[in-house]
Amino acid sequence: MNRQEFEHVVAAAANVVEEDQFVVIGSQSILGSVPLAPSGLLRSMELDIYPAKSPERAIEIDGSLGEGSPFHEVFGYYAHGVGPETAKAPTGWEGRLIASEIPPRPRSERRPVAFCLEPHDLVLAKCVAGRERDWRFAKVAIAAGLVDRATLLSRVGGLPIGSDGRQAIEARLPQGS
Amino acid sequence: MGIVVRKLVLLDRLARLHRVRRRNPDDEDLVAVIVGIEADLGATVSQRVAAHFLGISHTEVGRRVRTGEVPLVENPEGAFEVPVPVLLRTLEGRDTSPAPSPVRTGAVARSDPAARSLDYHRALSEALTPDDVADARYRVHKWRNQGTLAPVYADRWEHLLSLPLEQIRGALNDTTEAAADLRQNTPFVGVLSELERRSLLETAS
Repeated sequence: MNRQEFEHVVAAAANVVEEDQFVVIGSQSILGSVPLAPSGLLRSMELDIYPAKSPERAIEIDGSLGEGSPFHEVFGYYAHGVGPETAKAPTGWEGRLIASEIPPRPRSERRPVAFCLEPHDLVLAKCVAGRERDWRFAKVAIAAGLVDRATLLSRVGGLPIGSDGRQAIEARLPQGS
Repeated sequence: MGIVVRKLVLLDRLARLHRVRRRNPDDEDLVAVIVGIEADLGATVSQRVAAHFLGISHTEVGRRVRTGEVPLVENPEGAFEVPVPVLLRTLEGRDTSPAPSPVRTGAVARSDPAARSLDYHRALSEALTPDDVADARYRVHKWRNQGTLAPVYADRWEHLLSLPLEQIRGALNDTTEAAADLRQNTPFVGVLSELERRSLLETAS
């Protein structure tokens, strides 16, 4: 997914739930702060999103824009309705969200804003998920200079996992280039 | 040639060529021609064009839109139009069941997206036909070329979709991490009706 497709999904979600503020987590949230993010960070076709003021309405986004929907079929990308509990990011992540305004659509009165995970929080959330693709994401983000290892290490203590998990992440965090 | 007439001509060609493609799923030249026509036509068409193509009145299209039989999607320009693939399936008499109203949120829908995806693929694997596989192969090719399907996933899907149907079904139900990654970038759309797909979401919530 690229930045234009990201904007398309968020704008469409705004029209589905008739709200303007959304939280975007998952890989594609990098597009909120890095519109031209490296392709190695953008391999997935789905956008994890929920309405900031009414997370419970995320299911409506799935209904209209989700996996297998006509939207997905036509455009080749889709939205995953998720919730704040899905983001296994360090304490305080919600206060570090990065606001990304979406250009208004010609025929819509909505003015959507996507609040995206700050890149360090995103990388650490991926490390908590711990799949091979998540570690590849971390490696690419560090190598591209989008996050720095020192800041990552400083936030590991705030992750919502046990001490063993935190130690494992500290040990496995890739070195910078 | 007026715009509407031109779009109708392109839709007719697409309908015919897709039928030929399903009988010849390995014909890359044919796929390239179809992709080119779809790019020319656009991903969606107006309700007026849809009405002409289906041979029904504009009022009837509006009724079907209201009941959910004909979905509208918002294109990148912000216009709500009829998706071309859905229109072609409607012409063929496939998937005419109406979608329910927007998924209700009486319960908080917090189930794991990966689990929902597995449920979706399990359901579609039960209905899977060789035509669905041929259509998925087409989408892999098309989405790879338009950049929405990363090459690493396109390669994996191309391999999987070349296998016998039973093996494809097995892979869609696989609970490994690799299988979950692949499902997240699925080319399987339109196998379930909108009613079935949304019912799965309501069950998950």
